[in-house]
Order: sequence, then structure tokens, then C-alpha cells
Amino acid sequence: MKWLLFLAIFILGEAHAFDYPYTMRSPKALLMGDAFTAVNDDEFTLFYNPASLARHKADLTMYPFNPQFHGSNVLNDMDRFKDFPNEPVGASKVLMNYPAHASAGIAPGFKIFNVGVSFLANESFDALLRNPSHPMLDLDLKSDRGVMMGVGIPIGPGRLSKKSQSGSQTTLGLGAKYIERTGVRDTLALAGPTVLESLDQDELDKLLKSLGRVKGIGYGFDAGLEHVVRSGNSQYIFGLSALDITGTKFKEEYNDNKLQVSDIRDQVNLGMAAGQNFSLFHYILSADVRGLNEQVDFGKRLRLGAEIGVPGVKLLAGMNSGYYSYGAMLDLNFMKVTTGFYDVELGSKYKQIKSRRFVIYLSLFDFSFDA
Amino acid sequence: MRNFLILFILIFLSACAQNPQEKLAEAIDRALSHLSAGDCDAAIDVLEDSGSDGKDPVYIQVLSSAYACKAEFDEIEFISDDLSAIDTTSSATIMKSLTIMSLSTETAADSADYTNLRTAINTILNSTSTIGQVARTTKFGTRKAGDLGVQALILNIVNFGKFLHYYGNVNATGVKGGGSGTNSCFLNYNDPRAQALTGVSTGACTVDNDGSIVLDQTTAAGKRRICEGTMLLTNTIDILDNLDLSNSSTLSKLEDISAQVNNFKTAATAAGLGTIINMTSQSECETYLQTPAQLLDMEYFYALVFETGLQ
Repeated sequence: MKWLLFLAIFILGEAHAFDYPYTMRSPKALLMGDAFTAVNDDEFTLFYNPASLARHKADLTMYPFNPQFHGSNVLNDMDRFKDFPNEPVGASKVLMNYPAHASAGIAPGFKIFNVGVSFLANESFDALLRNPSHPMLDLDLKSDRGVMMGVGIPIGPGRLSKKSQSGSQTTLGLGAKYIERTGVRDTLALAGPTVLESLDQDELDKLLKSLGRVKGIGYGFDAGLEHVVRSGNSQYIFGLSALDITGTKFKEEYNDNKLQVSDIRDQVNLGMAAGQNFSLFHYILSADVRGLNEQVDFGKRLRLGAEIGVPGVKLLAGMNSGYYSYGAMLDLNFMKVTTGFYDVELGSKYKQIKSRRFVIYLSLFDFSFDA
Repeated sequence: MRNFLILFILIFLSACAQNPQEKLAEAIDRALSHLSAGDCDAAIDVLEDSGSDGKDPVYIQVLSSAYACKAEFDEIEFISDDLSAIDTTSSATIMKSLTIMSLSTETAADSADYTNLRTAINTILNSTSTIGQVARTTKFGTRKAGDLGVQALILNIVNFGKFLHYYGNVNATGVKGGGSGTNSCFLNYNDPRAQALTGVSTGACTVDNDGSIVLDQTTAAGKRRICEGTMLLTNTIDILDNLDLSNSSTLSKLEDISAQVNNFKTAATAAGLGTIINMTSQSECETYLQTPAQLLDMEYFYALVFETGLQ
């Protein structure tokens, strides 16, 4: 019991008031409302709970090329962008209160038995202009490069092999990460010298340089617990993860303007998933309660997800902090395509600022090997 | 499973309270959303309840803008419509064009809009113990001080327009003394240097005793208002002198204004009124006006700058 108490105290971190500056998310998870702590069965295991690595079904699995693209779902806001003004004042009126997001990333990696490694490269841009009285731009530019690794170690008496039809297993997971993050996170006045001078630049590189960028290096640590119960064609999973324990803080180079990149705050998440597999048809239902270490509205914590599939095709849906998501996945073994729409909460309160997004994900040349 | 449940309950029961920094970040985030929805009072309440010590430059900007919001100020519309319409041909045309900006019309002294804008300005100016753009740069760095400076500058220009409009009693085209009030001058002038100017280069102000009754130098409220007008001008000059806006085409108009308003500074300095034109603190100004000799200096300053500048 003492170690449980120690762990509980250790993982308690800071509360916070804005969207998590994640390094990367699983596209499948996002389309399942990000209720993925206990599902966690794809290439992004290390991003949710390292304990899930003990469920790895093969001796070796590689996913060498898996780019993903996200962006604001402008399809729902076509009227807003019709006749878009080409001067800054008019453009700012159109963009007022519109959360803009774009990101592109790749996270190749492999799993050997119950050990996983993921490399990551991700470019991300977020901007939100608010407050007509004095327009202020929440800006988050991130360019991440890094590596994550982790291990899932079964603890306790129960064990589940790949072919076990019934039984249970409890796993402890540990993970570590090294990330170089270049960018800037700041709230700037639209009519201030920094932004207006940037808008006068005619090249993207110069614009970004004018907004300011700084490089930070951060090390982070994750831990998790997972309990799996299998009975016939049914499986139940409970997962508890402590990600970025005490926060992954980036140490920036000295700069006169004290520019900073987004630190990754610690997050303690609880997940549950239940599913059945009937060979030709399967389903999974999942729920997450996120940010147990924070003071936030319960609605903002809650994630619900569902997956229904037949071999080769999966339909995904979910609810993330009260917002819906849906999409589909085509799985042809050597190639996996996932696409869909999802919404996320950007504000500090439940249903404060909705960001509507799309995702397209392609994973090519995946393969598994059993000795 | 038992361990799982115990761990979950432990974590859930001991969820951390927010530290001051997180509380402030959440307050700023919520206030920005309130301001986007036009709920200025809710934004002020959220910010003032956050327990901030007022040292965060973004907090200062948002709180200032919440008061400006109460005055129905829209920065984008100001830049789009009013800033571009300011006539920077000469120092005289600038003041006239300020009086006819979209938010300049005032029908009473110390109106709610004027007072809210004054609070918005003071939120920024009083963020440093020594008032001025140099002090803000020292405290907040170039980047944040630049944002604060431009915000204060724009608010200063808007409220200066209101000040000139009402106390100058202008008509619809910005001609002094042509409005619905009775005065043709800002002040009543007892100072001989000021009296020598009236009628010569002061436009509609041709006599020494036709000042605004609410700018009465003998009352505390009158002195306060006289100083407010002075501070609107001096802080505008201070910001323009200490902020490099030359790299932005949108703000180039402010550079043009800078060139012209510095003529007021040059004239005041040459006339021995350097103390007043370089003063940026309202309280310092009100203290300054306690002695008769300095009241006369202020009259001379008004005649030289305000009466000459707005005709």
C-alpha cells in the first residue's frame, strides 16, 4: 500500500487552464473521442499508457512510415471564409474567435515483445484571435523532434499469453522521452509591433522568424498500470496512466524576450474499455476520465468512444469533452488509412471554445513477425 | 483490481488546487472569451477575482481592454476607420481630425465612456512605478512593452479625441467653440504669456475669459481634468518617442503623428515648459498645480499647445 500512496502523491502535478500541448495523438483515438487510455492498441501506445505494451500480440511489429495530417475543418465554416479580405484589418474580423489549427507529423517505431520505441517529428500551428476591443492572438508554434521508449511489465500472479482465452493480467508500464521542441507559445496583441511587423513579411520563413522562435529540450517520464480480463470472446481493460510525470519542461536557450515553447503538463488518466470479437464482427466501447490530478469540470474530463468493425474496415465514433467525433479506418495489413472529423476543447471550461478539425492518417508497410 | 481502485480514489480525492500562475492563466483565458462575447463586466470580474498582482503583461492588456470594451471601443475599427483618417499634414490638423473621430463625440464631462477609457489607459500606465515606455520596456521586455505601448497609445489617441471634442466645444467639422457648449477656449487665462497668445494664433479663442467651466483651475475636479488632458498628450509623445514602429506599414500612420506632435514638445520646451511636457504621471501633475506660479505655467502650456493646436 505504501508504494501506491507514494505514487499517488508523486504524480500529482499542476492544474492548468488551456489545451494540452501534446506531442502527438493517435488518429484512431481522436476519432474515438480520445477515449483511448484502455484501448491503446495501435502504433501510438507510448503516447497513452506504456503498460499497454504488455498486450503486444507479436514478437516484433514495425510501423516504418505513418504520416498524419490535421487541420481546421473549414467545411463547416465556408460562409465565414467566402470573399476573404486580403488586408489585415478585414481578415482579422473574419478570423475573430476562429481557432485555426494545422499539423503534420510522423511517428515511426517498433515494438519488440513488451518493449516499444517511437520516433517522432511533428510540425504544429495553432492560433486563436479573441477580444475585439483589443484583439489578442493566442499563438502556439511547435516543431518537435524526439524519441520515446517504454516497457510493460506484468506484475502479480495472472498472465495472459497471445492465445489465452480467459484469465487476467496486471501490468506496470514505464516510459521515457526526449523531445526537442522549437517554436513559441505566446499571447500577442494583433495591433502590437511583433504581429504587425510579421504580417508585413512576404515570405513564410521571415514571418515565422519575425514572430520569434526558440528551441527547448525536454525529458519526460510516464508510468501506467493496466488490468486486463479476458473471457471467451470478451475482453475488459482498466488503465491508469500518469503521463509527463511532474510535467515535461523544456529548457530554452537564453533569449532577451523570454520566449518559451509549450511545456507539457502532467496528466493522470483513467480509462476503461470493453469489447467482444465474433471473428467477422467486433466492437469496443471505451471511456476515459482525464486529468484526475487537476481541477476541471467533469464534462471536460470525460471521453467516450466506440469502434465497430468487420475485417478490413472499422467505424469509429466518440465524444470528447462534449464534442462529437467520427471517422473510419481501412486496414489492409500492409496499409492503413484513417480519416474523419473530430472536435476538441481549447478553453479552460467545459464547452468554452470548440476547435473543429479533420485528420488523415496513412500507415504504410506495417509488418509483424513471430519467431 | 483492489489496488487499482485504491489508487484511483487516492488520486481523485487529492486533485491539486490551482497555483497562482495557473489561476491567472485560466482567468485570462475566460476573460478573453467573455470579451469576445461582449461581456465586459464578466471579464473584469474574472480578472479581478484572480488575485493577480498585476505584474503579468498579458493580464494588464486584457484588463485594460475590458475597460475599453465598456466604452464600446473596437481596436480593429479604430485602425481601419479612424487612424487612417487622421490628418497628419501639420500639428494643427491633427488635433482637429482627432475631435471628429467616430468615438470622439462627448456631451458631458467625465462621461462613462471617457472614464472607462481613462481606467483602461491607467491600467497600463500604472503597471510600472515610474510611468513611461522606457520603464515598461525595462520591466516587461521589448516584445511585451511594445504591445502594451501600442495599446496605451491607441487608447490615448481615442480619449484625447474625446477630451478635445468636449472641452474644446467643437462642431461637427472640428472647429473649436462651434459646438453646443458656450466656451470658445479651453481655460480662462490669467497668465500674461497665455494672454499674449489668445487671439493671435488661437483660432476661435480670442478672449482670456471664455474657458470651459468644468476646467476651472481653482477646483480639484478642474485641476484633475486639466492634468488628464495634459497626460493624454504627454504619454502619447512619450510612447511615440520610445517605440520603434517604423517596420510596420499598418502603424506607419502613428509614425507620421509622432513627427507632428513632437512639434508641440519642441514648442513647449522652447517656452520653458519642459517640466510639463515631460511629465507622464497624473498624480505628479495634480501635485504640481498646487502652487499659483505653476498654475500659470499650465495656463501658458494650454494656450501654447491646446489653443494653438486646435483652432
